[in-house]
Amino acid sequence: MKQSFQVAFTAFILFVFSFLAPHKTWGQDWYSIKIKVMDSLSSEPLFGATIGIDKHRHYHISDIHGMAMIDSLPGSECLLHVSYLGYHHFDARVKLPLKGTFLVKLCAESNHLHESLVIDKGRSSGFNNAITHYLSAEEIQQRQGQSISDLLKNMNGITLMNSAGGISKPVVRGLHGQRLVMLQGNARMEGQQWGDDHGAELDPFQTNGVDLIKGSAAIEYGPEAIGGVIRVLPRPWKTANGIEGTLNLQGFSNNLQGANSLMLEGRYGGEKYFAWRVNGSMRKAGDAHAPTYNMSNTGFEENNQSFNMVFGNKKWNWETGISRYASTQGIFIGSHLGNIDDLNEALQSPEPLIILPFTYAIGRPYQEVEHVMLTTQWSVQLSSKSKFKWQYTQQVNRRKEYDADRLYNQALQGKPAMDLEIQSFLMEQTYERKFSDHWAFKVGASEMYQNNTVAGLQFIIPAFHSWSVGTYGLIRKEWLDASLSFGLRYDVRQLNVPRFTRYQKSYAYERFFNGATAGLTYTKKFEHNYLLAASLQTGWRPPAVNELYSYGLHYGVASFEIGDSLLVPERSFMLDISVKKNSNSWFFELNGFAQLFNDFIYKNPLSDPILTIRGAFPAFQFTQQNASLIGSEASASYRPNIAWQWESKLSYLYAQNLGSNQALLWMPANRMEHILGYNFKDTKSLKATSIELQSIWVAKQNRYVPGVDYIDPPKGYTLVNFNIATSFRPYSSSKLWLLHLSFQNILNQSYRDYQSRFRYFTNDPGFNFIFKLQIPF
Amino acid sequence: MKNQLIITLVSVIFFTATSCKKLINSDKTPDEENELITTVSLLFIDALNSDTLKFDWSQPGGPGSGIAIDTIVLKPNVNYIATISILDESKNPTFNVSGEIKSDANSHRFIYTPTNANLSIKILDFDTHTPPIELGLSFEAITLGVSQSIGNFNVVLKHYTESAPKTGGLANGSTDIEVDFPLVIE
Repeated sequence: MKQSFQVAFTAFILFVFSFLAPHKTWGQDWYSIKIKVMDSLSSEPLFGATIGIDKHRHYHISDIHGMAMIDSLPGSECLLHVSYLGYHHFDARVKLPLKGTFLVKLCAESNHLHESLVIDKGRSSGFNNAITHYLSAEEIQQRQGQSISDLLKNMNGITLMNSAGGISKPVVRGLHGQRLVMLQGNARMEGQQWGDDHGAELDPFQTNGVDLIKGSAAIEYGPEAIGGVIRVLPRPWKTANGIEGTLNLQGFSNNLQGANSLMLEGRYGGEKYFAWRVNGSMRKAGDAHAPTYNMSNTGFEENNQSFNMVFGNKKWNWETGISRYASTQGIFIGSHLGNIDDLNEALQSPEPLIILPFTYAIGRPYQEVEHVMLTTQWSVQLSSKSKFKWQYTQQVNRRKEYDADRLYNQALQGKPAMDLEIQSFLMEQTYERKFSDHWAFKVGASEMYQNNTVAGLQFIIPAFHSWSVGTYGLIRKEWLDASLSFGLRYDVRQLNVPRFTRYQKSYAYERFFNGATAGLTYTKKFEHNYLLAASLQTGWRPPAVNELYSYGLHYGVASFEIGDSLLVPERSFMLDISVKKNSNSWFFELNGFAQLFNDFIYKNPLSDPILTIRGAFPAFQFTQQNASLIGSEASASYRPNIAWQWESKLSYLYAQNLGSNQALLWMPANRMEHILGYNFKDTKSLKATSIELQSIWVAKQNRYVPGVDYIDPPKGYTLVNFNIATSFRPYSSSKLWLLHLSFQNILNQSYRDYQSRFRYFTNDPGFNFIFKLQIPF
Repeated sequence: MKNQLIITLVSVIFFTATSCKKLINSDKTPDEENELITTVSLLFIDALNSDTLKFDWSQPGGPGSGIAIDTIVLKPNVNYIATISILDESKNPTFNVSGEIKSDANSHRFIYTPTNANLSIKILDFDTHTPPIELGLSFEAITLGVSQSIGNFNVVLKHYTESAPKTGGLANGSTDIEVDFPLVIE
């Protein structure tokens, strides 16, 4: 029944695509446009902003009133690029002819000099990105999934590490966890990033966009930014007075998930203003469903709250926010095993050994996570050229993991196997100053104290304290067609592990780490809209507590993990080059990188299993070796007219352990993605209607070491998705409501992804119909 | 202007102060792993003359540490009544897990597998399922033959849950204990 529905559905899509008449070609007329550039908050005109138009080889400069007049524009649309030192640049596709003045509101870079080498701002993914700016704010598309990581995977070069159900964490070019920094706004998230099954603790509803920061800008974020920085951008503050809000309703068919969120925000005042925002969201999901069976105990629930406010005037603003993320996540029941024999039995079975009927109930094993974060930041415009910012962030991350209940000691029943709480106190100061001849500098410092407590029945990691202090400087010079920036950073970290007893032996550790980070980024624009960006970077990362001191059984994957207390920091050297070209109808970007690691820390399988009273367990020891990660991402899109759009993305990664001259394990497989989209003409009732057909092909990971993993990597797979988006006004005075319908894995393909942690035991989820309605009011 | 600054500062201090409370009393790693099984102890009693033999498999230092294994030496053509004890000897006093296993008999089962030896096993105790299923805390071990045999004695404790019930057969459940003893019959 389901099968025939899918076949019919696919046929329908093909039908729609093949019968849509090609769009009318537009006449060759010449147009002119008027542009006004201003500050997004103060609405002051910006004098001397650089305006580039894809139709012209030279640049235009805005006058004292922020105005520029651009004429001799052929065709039906043009691409606009506006930049101004100290502000985020702005890209837009402008439809011609254009009546009135095109307003460009630039956002001040209140927090950092923007030299992020953004791999891809998610062109097709509807982030609040360059290409969608030509839509009004109401029309900003959203492609939220059930977690923040679902949004991230739309970026080329980012893949996901999944644990069946709701847990997934982003992997950037093969690096994840402690090699990535996640920022919520400007605040750095500090949790238990070391676990493969520890997902990102962020509410996807509160996301307005995502930046991947690489290159010299990443040095602002300290040693963990060795693999990049993922910045989740909040909604910009309202600029007009009044109260408004958004209601989101979502449904997912695969795990019968329902989710909703409500956001309210308001602003008062003029030059002196006060604005606030409240967010609340809830999410409840049952078991996920693989094409032929139910994946038992993969349900999850989540609820999040946040409150943010800002006071400001012409000279300073003070922003404070508090947010809470709480989730309970079921762990796939077929994955908790007694010993290697149980594991082998599970591996040999084509289906999970335990298949129970669908339920919303979450049983053991499961994990409970709560993340509360308070952040307050004060920035002062000291003069028109200089700015100071102070930020304080405090957060608590509590993680409780409950094993399959098999305890003998009755007094311990009901207690979590692992109960970790990490508290982080982080302070940051930055000062930036720009000079009239287009150069600027920024200096900053950060201080952090962390305190991790450990309770629960087994301790994989011991309790610890750590103190980190870092300081950096960045300089940047801009020319009309090029920019150069250089940054240098130095960090120290003290790690103390108080005395603890493990298996009747007593241990205590103290370590001190220090290291420098440096980055150089150069961008240059060439004729015909070629943009070249190159960056050279070196960074380091001290070993983390789990890599140093973990010792114990992971029942989840029936393995024994052993840390090495003598590990030294790893160091990376990276070269990253990208070429971009933007023309009226097409776009491409080619990106190549090579990252060399000295003393790359990884888990190495030991040749002999560890013998315990529970039987034999395969053992893994943290160790270090030199390694290289070389890869490339390419994306191209073609838009012959306003109606049709085609886009392709490709990513490739080659990761090698240079010490053993073998492949690095568990790296993402190569993949390719194609999207064919069609935009309908606006009708009276439906605006910005579009459909797209997406196919994702993931190759088999052929680079592995035979016999090391429990089983060889799974074969490659292809998924087909279909999306519909439209917006409408249900009654004449309402704002535009946004409706998204998405059909994921329409062919209900059975597959296992190499980076899914439960690929040993179960297929990944099958067909999923997603309904999303966004109601602004 | 001045007022606003004061409000700002006071609020920051307030937030910082209220949220710092939890800091106190926090650097503790639990003293030891709470649930640890160190020892499997087998007691063989000659049914005729009540001679008692005790064989231990023990890893007192926990997983990954040294293991001491006794060789089970039995006489041929003898009926032994045997019992098994599961102990955590890292605790003082020793925690006897067998009691817990007995009280939760419906979700446990011992499986004894001798290989290359003239030994047959018969389980003596059962759980409260209908019909009852073997538990295995006590069993009868009957040695046969005249000639010496050298083999292996494998002990497995299976743990069943609601989702993988004992009634589902031996393949169900997860393994809590799996140890091998060398076995000599002479």
